Amino acid sequence: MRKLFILGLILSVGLFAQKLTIQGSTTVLPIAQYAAEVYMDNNPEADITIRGGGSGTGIAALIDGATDIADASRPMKTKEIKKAREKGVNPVANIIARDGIAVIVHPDNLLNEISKEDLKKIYTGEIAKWNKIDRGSGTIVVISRDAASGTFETFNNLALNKAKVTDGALMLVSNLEVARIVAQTPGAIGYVGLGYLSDEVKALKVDGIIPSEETVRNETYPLARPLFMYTNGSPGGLAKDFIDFIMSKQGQKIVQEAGFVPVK
Amino acid sequence: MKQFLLVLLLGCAVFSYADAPIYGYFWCRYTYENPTTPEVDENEHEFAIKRGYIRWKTKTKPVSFKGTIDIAQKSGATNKSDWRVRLKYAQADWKLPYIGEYIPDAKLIIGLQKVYFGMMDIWKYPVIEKNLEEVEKKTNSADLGVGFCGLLPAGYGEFAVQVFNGNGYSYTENNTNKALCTNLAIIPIPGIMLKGSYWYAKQPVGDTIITQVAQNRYAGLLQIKYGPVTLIGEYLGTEDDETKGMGYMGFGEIAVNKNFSILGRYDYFDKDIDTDDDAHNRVIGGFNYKISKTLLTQVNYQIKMYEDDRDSSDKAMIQFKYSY
Repeated sequence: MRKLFILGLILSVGLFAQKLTIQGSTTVLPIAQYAAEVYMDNNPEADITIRGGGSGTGIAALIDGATDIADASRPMKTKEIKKAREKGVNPVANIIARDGIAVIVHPDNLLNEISKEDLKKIYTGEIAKWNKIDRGSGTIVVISRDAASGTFETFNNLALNKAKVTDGALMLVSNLEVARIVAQTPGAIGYVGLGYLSDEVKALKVDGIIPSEETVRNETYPLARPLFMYTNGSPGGLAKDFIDFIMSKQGQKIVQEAGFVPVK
Repeated sequence: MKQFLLVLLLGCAVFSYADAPIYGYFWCRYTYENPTTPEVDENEHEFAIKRGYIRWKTKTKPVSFKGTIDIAQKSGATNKSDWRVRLKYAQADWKLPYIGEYIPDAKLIIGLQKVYFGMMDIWKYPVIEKNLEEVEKKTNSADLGVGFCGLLPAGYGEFAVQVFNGNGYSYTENNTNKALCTNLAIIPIPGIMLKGSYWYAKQPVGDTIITQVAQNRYAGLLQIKYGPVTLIGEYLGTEDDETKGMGYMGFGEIAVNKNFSILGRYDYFDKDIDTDDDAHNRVIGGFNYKISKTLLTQVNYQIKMYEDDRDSSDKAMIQFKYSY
């Protein structure tokens, strides 16, 4: 009888399990993962699968109907919206948090501040030595995110005015990897989402503004951006419940604990 | 073939250096055909690599380059020159700096490029047969020229204006006039696309360029995508000097699941509406099964019926499309 009861319980959970797939930005990934864990603890019938891959990958999956929510650290491009509409998908942007892209260097670097102009010169290869910027010495090791990531797109737009990143830049696949390499390389410069700042790297002021929750929220920090969860049409069912949860007081606390800036 | 391999090898080296990944498709097809031609007694059947594309694309800005080498087996060829190798696309896409501020994705396309006309630029071969305008040999899928393309704001569609030689990608220019092609696609609500295209050219008659006749092509189509269902209706009008032709195509697809879909298509084409008994119909039915992300199986049966007293011709095809 007990076995029958357990079997019945397993079957009923299986039958009534609500599934949700989320795919996209590696920047939004920690928020989605943390929020999903808490949400599934509170709602055992929910089955949420989360994948990274970058904003472009998530948006492509939403257009192909392969995911319910596309995480993105940049707005959808007109080309992507057109493709979605052509396929009968109506992408709706849900802003769930804000993020600042922090420019980071090795903690031993003497530099504390950088201008957007110098940042562009470094990333386009016009400046290759630290002594052209400040008191430092040696060659600048330029670290960037790969071109498929939303972080790259945003940095490229906000800091470089869409200029081409120097061929000498090391293109890495995640924020975590950028932070790790910069922490290990004295001459390196990189950029990561606010959530990836730690004592192992030094965040620089950009145009005199320190990247912080406050400066991102009040939009004074020049390299700030909204973070999105795109859905096909207004979210419904489990997608709506999950996004509502992230937008709730508890969800926005998770956003904050993950190192990002709440929108509420 | 040796020359081709040499070009391919050099191409691979150059484009690997230029960070231009190489990708493409190969279509391997088995065809079983019942021909109507009286001189052929037996049913014909064959395995063939009907088409292979080797593609590359650079990610350079503001000008990017892309190209496609088209390899195919010649139909019915029996000797060692069975293979045909052509350059299908070789174009530079220049994203226009100032106009691009107002027109999303505004670009100038220079070189051998896709023709934005009717189904030409959107037909992804859901059934094995070519789209109506191409199978009736009324337009070419690629041509040499210059194009100005862009998107409508907020993803509401796209437009293209192109000037071509007008002879397609297989032939060199043989007249003094250029062809003009215009295209506008509007997506008023997600899933519904309206598209209109117009082509105008002057084409020589026979081998001489002295006598040239006006060539007009019009196409209008409606595409509806709702959930697993895709429906397309297209009208095609043609004018070659005094001869007026018309045709239409209806296409439907139901995706049973993400790997399996059932498809059907009906074509009608009358090459001269003022002449009796010169029209034909084409009916196609089949299914697609995606074995993996890189291998698609297509099974089609199609029958072509003539308005005159000729017997209908039919064929069954199984095709494997490899993506790499």
